[in-house]
Amino acid sequence: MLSSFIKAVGSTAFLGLSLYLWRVGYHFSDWAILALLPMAVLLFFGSWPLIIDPWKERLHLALLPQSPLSRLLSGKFRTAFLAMTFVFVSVALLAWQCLTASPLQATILLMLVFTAGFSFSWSQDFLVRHFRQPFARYWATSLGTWLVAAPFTLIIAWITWSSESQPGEMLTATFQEALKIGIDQLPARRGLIAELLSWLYAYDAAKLWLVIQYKEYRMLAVFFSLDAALLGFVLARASIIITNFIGMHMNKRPK
Amino acid sequence: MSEPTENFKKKNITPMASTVRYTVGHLFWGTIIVFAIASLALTVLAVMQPVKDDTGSEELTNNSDPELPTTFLEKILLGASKEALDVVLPDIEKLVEEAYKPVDDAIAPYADFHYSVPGQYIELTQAARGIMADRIHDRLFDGLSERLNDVASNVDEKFETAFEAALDAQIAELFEADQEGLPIGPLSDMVITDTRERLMLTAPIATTAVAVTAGASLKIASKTIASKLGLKVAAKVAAKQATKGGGALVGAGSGAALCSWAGPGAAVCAVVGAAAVWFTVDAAAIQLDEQMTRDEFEKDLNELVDDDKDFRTQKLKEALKKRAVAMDEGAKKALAEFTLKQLSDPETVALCQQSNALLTGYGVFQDDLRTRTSSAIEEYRRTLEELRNRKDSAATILAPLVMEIDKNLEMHGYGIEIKQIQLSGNFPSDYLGYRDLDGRLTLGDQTVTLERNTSTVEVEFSLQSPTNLKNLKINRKEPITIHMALIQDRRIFRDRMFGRSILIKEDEFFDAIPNTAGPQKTLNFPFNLALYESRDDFQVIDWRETSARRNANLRLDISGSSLPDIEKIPSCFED
Repeated sequence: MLSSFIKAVGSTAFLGLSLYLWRVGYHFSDWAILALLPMAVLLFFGSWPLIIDPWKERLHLALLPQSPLSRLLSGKFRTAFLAMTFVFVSVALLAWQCLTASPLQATILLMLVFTAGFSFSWSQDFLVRHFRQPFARYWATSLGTWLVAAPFTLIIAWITWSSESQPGEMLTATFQEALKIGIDQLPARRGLIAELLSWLYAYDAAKLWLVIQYKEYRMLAVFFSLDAALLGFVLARASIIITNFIGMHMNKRPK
Repeated sequence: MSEPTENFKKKNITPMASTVRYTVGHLFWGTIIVFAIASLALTVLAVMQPVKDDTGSEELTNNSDPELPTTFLEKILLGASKEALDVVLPDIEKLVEEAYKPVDDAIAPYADFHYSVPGQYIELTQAARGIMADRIHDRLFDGLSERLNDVASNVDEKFETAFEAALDAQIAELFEADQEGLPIGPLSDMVITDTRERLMLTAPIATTAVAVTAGASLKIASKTIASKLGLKVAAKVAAKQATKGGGALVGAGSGAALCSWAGPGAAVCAVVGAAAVWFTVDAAAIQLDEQMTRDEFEKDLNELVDDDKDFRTQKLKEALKKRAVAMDEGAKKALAEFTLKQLSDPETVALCQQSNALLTGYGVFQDDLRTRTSSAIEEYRRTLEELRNRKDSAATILAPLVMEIDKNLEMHGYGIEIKQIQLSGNFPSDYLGYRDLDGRLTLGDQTVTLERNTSTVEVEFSLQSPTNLKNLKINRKEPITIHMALIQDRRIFRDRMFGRSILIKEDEFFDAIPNTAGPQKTLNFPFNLALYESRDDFQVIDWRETSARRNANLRLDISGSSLPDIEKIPSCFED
């Protein structure tokens, strides 16, 4: 239990500090992106065993040892592709969201990170008594993600829907004006990062514009909030990857 | 505890891997410590020292600082533009005056040129070639366009500086008590930063008033001067032609007689003599002309330049006012926020319905001038104010609409102009006759002279003002008092003076507006015309209370300012 707690605290501290440093630093300079680099590296290498180990085990069971296909189906390419995709998507999403997150949202997201890390670690300890590795870890990952992200998604969606302020000028904006309002939330400084982030800001603004146009359909506003809350799944998975990474590297000093 | 599968086990237990993992573990916790220290340092830096971003605006990033109330933010943002306007508007006149100084200074040299023999011929040639306006532009307005551009940029800069200063002063005033700097929360800071950023981009007059400062518009002024000057030059030359034609003939004749000694060169001598006489006469004529008309010429030029100066000063002032209004609009929009819950709240739907009623009310004001009494507009605006002040869940969604309606009403709702006045009727039977009539009418502090007409014994008299009177507005703050005077011209006999002063209260005025379509209305106020010794004796009457039989009628053709259509109706009202 204590070990799970320490791992979850480590995961929360690492993600929280990386993103906070990025948020504060981006107001000064684009070099703030360096704060996200360790996170990206860690997510990539942390994802690796989570993806490749179950694959290899399945392959080990399915493929005959003498088959020449075993060299082709090593799973490394697939793992690299999936890990890189996750790193790119998660880092971009988290970087974007943490720039605009309110203190309330940030608090809830940190709680989610901690809970996801803790529940993964705890459930892995439990599942490892019943399943072989890496399946225990595989199930713990899924369980940790779903058990935490699903309720937190609802909480974030509720907060986005009921408490998060949207700019009033959006109410009467045309589509083009809405996009401009969205992009204007970025610091005035141009650059590659701003160009990349502008797509996400524009997407969010376009979504909000659509909700305003069809405000009589309440479900659309709910979907808007849910969409914003889906970030919870990415964050939960990122937390689990880092918690697992910590777990793998918290061995005692080798003799 | 279950064992890992054989395949999995083999891969995870090498001593080398264990060492690497131990090192990476240290690196991980080390990274956290480094990040924690860096975060702390950056946070302290952000709090202690306001950070300038690329736009030069200051950004404060302490999330724990208090947010300013929206009403206060609105007050300081709107107050800043008003203060900046008050500071800069009086300067425009001085700046334009400075820009026109070289033009004023160029008038005397231009008059010297104009009243010289070569100058006259050059002007004539320019007029014939149609380039007079260009040359006048070169001589008088050279460099003015650039100087006016500088004025526009200068005014922009002063406005921005004054705006920033007013903003800073207001914020500083708020925190004067604790002297702890400017601890503004991030949301309030965002609104203020946004306002500072918008300041540079919102309708700078160097851009919006380009028509005022552009060289092309100055060419129009040059053309006006050229056309007036061209007429003068042509008239002057025509007058001289007659004089000088005779003079030249005399010069040629007397020259031929005087040059008879020259023998074969007599003809050439005669031509030179004629030319000398021509130019001598010309110079004398110009000198005489200068003596007689130079002062008037310079005065005319000065007046034309002053008119142009006034026109541009006015336009620059208008452009600056528009800039201030645009800043206010932006600030109001930035302050209005909403949540998605509010957007689809049943309360919002109810509020939408209420606002539909508001739009209907606005439509009535738009369509029917009779409804625009001060009390009705004030009452309606009070409802708008109540809506604006509501802090419940859905009021913010309607804020832009409410503000637009209110602005339209404030700017156009009260405006009623008199376009034409007609006075008609019959004199008492003892005074009927075939006589010329003059009429004058005073409304508030403005006087309108009616066009002269003739009265007869059979037909009632009718005097009218010129059509499309300018700037004759109804002042709603006090009852309208109209003094009317009619003078019957009796040629060799003493003129007769008729008149009456009538007092029209606002509700009476609006009651008199007929129920007809369109913004132009005709109002009739019958009254009793009386004979007076002088205009000062006119008795002021409340026209409705006169019991005597009315023998005259005052007709006012009025026009209400048209209320603009609402531009940005939130989507829930569009159906």
